[in-house]
Amino acid sequence: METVTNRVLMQFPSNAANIGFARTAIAVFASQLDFTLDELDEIKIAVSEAVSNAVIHGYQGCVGQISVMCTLTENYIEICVQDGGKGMADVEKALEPAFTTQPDERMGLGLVFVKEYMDEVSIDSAIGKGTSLIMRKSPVEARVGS
Amino acid sequence: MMEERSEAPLFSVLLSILGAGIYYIFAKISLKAFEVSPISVGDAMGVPGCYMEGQRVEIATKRVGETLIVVLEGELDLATAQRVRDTVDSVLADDARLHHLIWDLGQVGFIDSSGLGMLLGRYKKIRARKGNVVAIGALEPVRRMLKMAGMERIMQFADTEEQALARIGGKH
Repeated sequence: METVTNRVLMQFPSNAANIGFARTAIAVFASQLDFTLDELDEIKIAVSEAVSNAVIHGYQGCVGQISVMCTLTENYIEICVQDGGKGMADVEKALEPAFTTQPDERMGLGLVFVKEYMDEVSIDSAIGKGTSLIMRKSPVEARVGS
Repeated sequence: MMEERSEAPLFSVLLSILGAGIYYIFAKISLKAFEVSPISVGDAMGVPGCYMEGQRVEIATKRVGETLIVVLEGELDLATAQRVRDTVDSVLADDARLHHLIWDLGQVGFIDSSGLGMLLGRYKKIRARKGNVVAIGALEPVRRMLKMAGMERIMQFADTEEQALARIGGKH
């Protein structure tokens, strides 16, 4: 069991303008570990995709609350993006490349990027109750060391 | 004396109306200073609600013959991609002679799947006009995302505007 060294909780309305705030704030928080600049960019992309999913798919245009909980241990950062929106019927399908419920200009790559850039990703979702996306990443040196 | 008494209330009413008018004008000016113009993400996604303000992206457009050149500066995500989408679509809709599109991405520091989706949508519009799309100056993190999304297979890449125009061909 890893010892938690730091933790931050952010809550904000599902306003797209908050996506940039969330990814930037979390990248700064993550920089307490020895992440490279490329890895911090990857965290920013993963957070941007996760929060965008909550805005677009979770609340589908309605305004609701999004919570982002970041936990640091000595070896990894864990980020939990949670919404109280519509929820997903089929989590496995949502993780498939190019799957999208809004095909007009959505590429269905959001969760693909999350999976590509983070070490571990899990999704817990219930129809009508919302979705929690939990992702974890270690600095490359920590991964090599372990 | 009687005439003086009847004019006093009238003067007082006129003064009140004038005061209310001045107050209204100052109130409107004060409110204007704090006014924001939200764009609805919901409208963009075909659903109501969820307001945002476009930010963190600067857009400049110019035309060279049949080519529209769009210079972007900032970050491309759900909040900002809509502004770019609206601007480019508006220019394309106004001028059917525009067949090609050059994206100058040299000042774009971040792009996610919302930004990529916007680029893909404009690519489809240009292909419908039998034109070509070229991206110039994409920084490594942005280039990496374009590659992961498969955009390198459908868009051309160049280092400079001149190279991009040469690659497109057509009328300049």
